[in-house]
Amino acid sequence: MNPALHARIARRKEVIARVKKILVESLYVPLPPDAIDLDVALFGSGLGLDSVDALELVVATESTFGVTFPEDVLRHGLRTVNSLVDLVVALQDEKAAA
Amino acid sequence: MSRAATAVITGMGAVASIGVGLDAFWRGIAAGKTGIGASLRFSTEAYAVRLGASLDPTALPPGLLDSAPDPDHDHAIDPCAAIAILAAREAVERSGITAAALRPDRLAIVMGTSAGGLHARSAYEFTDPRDRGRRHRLLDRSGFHVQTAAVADALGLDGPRLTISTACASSTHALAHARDLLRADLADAVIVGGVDLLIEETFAGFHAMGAISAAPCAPFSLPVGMSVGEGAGFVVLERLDDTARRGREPLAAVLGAGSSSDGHHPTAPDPTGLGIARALRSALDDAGVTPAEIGYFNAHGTGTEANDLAEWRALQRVFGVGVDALPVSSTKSYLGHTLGAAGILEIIATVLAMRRGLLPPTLGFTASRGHGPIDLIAAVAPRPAVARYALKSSSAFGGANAAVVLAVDAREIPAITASIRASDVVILGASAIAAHGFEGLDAALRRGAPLWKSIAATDALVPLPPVAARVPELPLARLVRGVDPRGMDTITRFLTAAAALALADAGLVVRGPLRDRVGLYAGAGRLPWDSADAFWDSIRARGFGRLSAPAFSRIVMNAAAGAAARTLSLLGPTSLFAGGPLGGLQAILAAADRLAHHADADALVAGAADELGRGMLADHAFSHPDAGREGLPFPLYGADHQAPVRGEGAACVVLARAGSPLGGAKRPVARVAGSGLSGPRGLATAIRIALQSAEISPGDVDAIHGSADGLVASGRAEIDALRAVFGDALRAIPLANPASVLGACDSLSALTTVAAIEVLRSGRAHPIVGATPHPDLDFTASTPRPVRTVLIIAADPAAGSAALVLTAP
Repeated sequence: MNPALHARIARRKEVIARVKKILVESLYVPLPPDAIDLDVALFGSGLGLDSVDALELVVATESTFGVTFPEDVLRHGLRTVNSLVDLVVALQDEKAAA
Repeated sequence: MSRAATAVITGMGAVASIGVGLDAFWRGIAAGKTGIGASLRFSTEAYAVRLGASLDPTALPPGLLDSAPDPDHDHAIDPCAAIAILAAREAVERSGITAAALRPDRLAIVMGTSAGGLHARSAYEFTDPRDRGRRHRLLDRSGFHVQTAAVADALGLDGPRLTISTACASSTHALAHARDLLRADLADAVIVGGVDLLIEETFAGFHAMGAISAAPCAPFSLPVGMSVGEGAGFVVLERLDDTARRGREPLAAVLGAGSSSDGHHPTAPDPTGLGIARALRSALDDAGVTPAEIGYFNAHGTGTEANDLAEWRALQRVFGVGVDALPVSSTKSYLGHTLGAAGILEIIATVLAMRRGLLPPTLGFTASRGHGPIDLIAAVAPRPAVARYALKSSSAFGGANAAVVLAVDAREIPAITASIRASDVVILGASAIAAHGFEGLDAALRRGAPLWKSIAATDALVPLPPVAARVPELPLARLVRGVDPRGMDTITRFLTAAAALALADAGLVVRGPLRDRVGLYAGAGRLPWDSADAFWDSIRARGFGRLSAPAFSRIVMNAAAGAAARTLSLLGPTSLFAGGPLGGLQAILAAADRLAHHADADALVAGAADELGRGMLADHAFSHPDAGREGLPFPLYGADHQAPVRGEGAACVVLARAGSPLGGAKRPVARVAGSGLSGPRGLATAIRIALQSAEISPGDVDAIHGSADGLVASGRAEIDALRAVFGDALRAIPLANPASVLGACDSLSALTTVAAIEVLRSGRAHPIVGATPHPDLDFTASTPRPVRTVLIIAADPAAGSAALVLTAP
């Protein structure tokens, strides 16, 4: 396998693990990390997060990864674990490129 | 003992943003002046919205608000207690009660506070961990009951002390408990109120939740959002017949009180309004007043969309079509949300207005939200109108709701309001979670071997690994069907487990309509450690402006009780007794009293929970490094050596009216025969009241359960009081205390109650194995007669004293 792709997959896995840790430890999602489906909705009937949790999810993720989310992230970027992870990876890439 | 005379308000005092002192407070209300502005005592640069309702320091004695909770001066008073003292003193002076006319031990205090110890706790959190002495003293001061004690001491009140902490409903709950104290004849006057400071932790917490409005809050109007405030309000509550004897005309009467749990969410109210409606109906029923007779509703009305809509839906449920003609307003447009002081300050505003033939308005109305009160008093000045009765509602984090019915016109104040004849109360089941685990309490206590051990140090600054009695791993998901412990903090897991196991022991399955008829009264000593750690860790890591909102929602004292009520569907009456180590027994006593005199519940679960948090362990390892180590004298009831060992846990009992038909419930395991409450110097008094109300003499007591925590002073307080009541007979009565096996903790007064119930079940007393022999005490459980009557006692230098007599059923 292409080493760059390999590294990218490894990095994505690490981001997933840390996002799950945030969900369990800071947002009290009542599931073991392994049981958190990457494509389930973060809010509402999915993982059950609500408006109180929304800001914490942003702040905790920003602090953990040293990134800053764009203003409209609450409306568009935080649907599922996967979309959150994509956003973090993209922001890290931007930061590295800058 | 029971005195049914109507509880009346005879004096009031207020310290608020709109004015300090009752006259200034009323001038503010009459002038339509809001106290919400931009000058807060901390920098608001980090926040997007920056409004709050702060006290005006120039209206207060110089330096009052600046005084740090200085732990190096024993008598330095926390600003929280300082403003409470101002308001309480004004209420007492205006009531005309004097210490000369009333015995100090018949003057009680009930104080509601959502964050009373937070100011000291915050100082603790931001003190260098190496400064162990200062940290220890600050931690001591962070007890909410310590604030109440400061007020009681300043005013010379020697009677019962209750600290009620149901977050933003605290002082409305407090008023209900004050009324219960008068009816139980445990006091002749109760100084009751609430207090909270606007500190940065609170502001930042609500800010992180996105709840703070960019404009001064205008409940039921656009824009949505709240404003945080601060202040203190107190009233003097007396029995109507006593005030008549004193020749005083009451200002108002508290005709009814009710409470409920939403069982819905940690912070958001049940949007259907069902939870609030239960509290409103319960208050109306208690008062014997119909919705049609209510002429004014003083709303909780925080200004948030969630609160205001839920409250409006509750009104629609309770008032039906009559809701269209119901005048409604929220005083928070003047005061901001004063948290623990909110209920009482809004009641004071209501009483002041109604006595003038006016109703207070909601300020700042700009545009309707499209739903909400039809007759919202949206104005800049009070509306001339006569309301026969007023209904006041408060709601809180944790889903706690409280409501009271008020009247000001003497013609509407009956001589007697207690409609329910006193009933016998029994205990249907009990359970404890502690170092022994979740079963086998009786066997562990009978064996008597201490269950503490050396545990891994969690803190590099602790010299030796501390010795403590921890709760073993709890298989909660297996113990309680349908409960998922993941996501719960430690104290919530403990309380939920103890409450669920007590219900199971009682054979009570809470489902269907019974859910509304079973409630939860809980005691708590300190903030929940786990969640408080998460909260301040988030501040240290990210700053106030970006603290964790979920952790903020969990650091209210009643968060665990709210979560347990939600998990177990205990939607009936609720309250939280922040009585330090006395909280558990206070909750049990209050629950028994509520059931005896009110019809709004068929059963109440009552008890307490606490946890050995990392800060507690570190502090204990510092204060008592040798506690629990081998070769040292036994920690309990020693004459000179003190080395208290800390434990943790939860204990609950299920109480019900004798003979009430509860589906599936087993036969009672004990009967509540009598109880007493008094001040810190009054343990002997509390015991005498308990024996008297049980109609027994000291010679009828077969066993005693103490809750001394291992400090010499605490053991001596129990021994002195017991000697005063029992004399030489004391040495023939077995004395037990589960701290001898489980360590001491803030739940100890509830644990010792559950242990006493075990003793009544078997008829055999518990020993204290390994205690240094004492000439006046029997630790050997060697009584030849079966135990049919047990006395349970608890005392604390700040929280006061409590005694309970249980008998075999």
